[in-house]
Amino acid sequence: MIDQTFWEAKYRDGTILREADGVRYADLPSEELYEFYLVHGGLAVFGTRAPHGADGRNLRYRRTTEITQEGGRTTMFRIGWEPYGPAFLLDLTALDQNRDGLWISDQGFHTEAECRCVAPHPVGWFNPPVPLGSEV
Amino acid sequence: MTLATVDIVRRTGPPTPVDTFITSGTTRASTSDVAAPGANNPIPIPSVGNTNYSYWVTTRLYITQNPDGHTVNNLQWFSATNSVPSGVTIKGQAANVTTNAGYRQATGTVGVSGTLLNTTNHTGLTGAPVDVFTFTTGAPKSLVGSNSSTGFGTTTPFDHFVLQVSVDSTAGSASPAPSNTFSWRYDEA
Repeated sequence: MIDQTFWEAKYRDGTILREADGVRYADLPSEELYEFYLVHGGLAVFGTRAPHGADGRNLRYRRTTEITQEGGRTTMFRIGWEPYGPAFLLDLTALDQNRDGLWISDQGFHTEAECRCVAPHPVGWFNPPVPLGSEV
Repeated sequence: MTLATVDIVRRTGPPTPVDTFITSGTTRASTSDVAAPGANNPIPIPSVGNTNYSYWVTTRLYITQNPDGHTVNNLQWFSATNSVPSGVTIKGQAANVTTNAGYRQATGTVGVSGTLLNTTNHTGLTGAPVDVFTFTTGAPKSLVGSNSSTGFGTTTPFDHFVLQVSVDSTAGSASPAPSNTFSWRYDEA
């Protein structure tokens, strides 16, 4: 499922850029970007809009994978707005199996030592991403 | 769009490192510079007051496929378990200091003990080795590296993580010792 889920970025002038069209996230000209979606099977399964004071340069989008030497792999989407948040953690495989798979951090990405979370979440997965391309 | 295929390799040998994929199986520390030693060359329990070491175990992420040129970065290493018997410790550290992006072949006396892992003997380490169990999922070891192609990366190549098992005279003789799960995490965009 992870491999068949793509992002779509919507701009203020109505332009929509799609990963499925071969656009690389790192190349998004993101200042005018204000909505970001995950699309699976033609349906938007997640969407977020730039919070007040932020624009697309504050967006962070990552597919994060954890692998063990025993061969286990877990991949989740990490999407959020830096530096103020919110940030979202999505396990689409879990959601597809009717298990908990969406966690929200009002404080944005953070280390566990910085966590002020009121609800439990998978430990370590809200760690801040390293900025790419036009991200600020 | 296709996710990059990223695997863990164990590096051994000279003159250039030999990379052995270990993602689909366990790997074992031994007193030999062998990626898959099996039950051969276990770490002997030393006499009172002494310590024997495994040859150091060097692992690294490797991108096998990356058809869409995704950037892989924000590497993290941590222990998902903490299961070592009395008399056994495991210490490790990142390695990226030139040459060879921090790789140094493990040395020692086969079947007896590896060379102590420290910054004098392993000049690729970024610092003194520490107890690997201090690196947890919530407080992982951050590693340097960014790669939008395949392999280890060239401009900012992926760090190695190097660890060593130490056995002192108080250790029991269980063989093999309990296994531990060490994990890598990385971002892709």
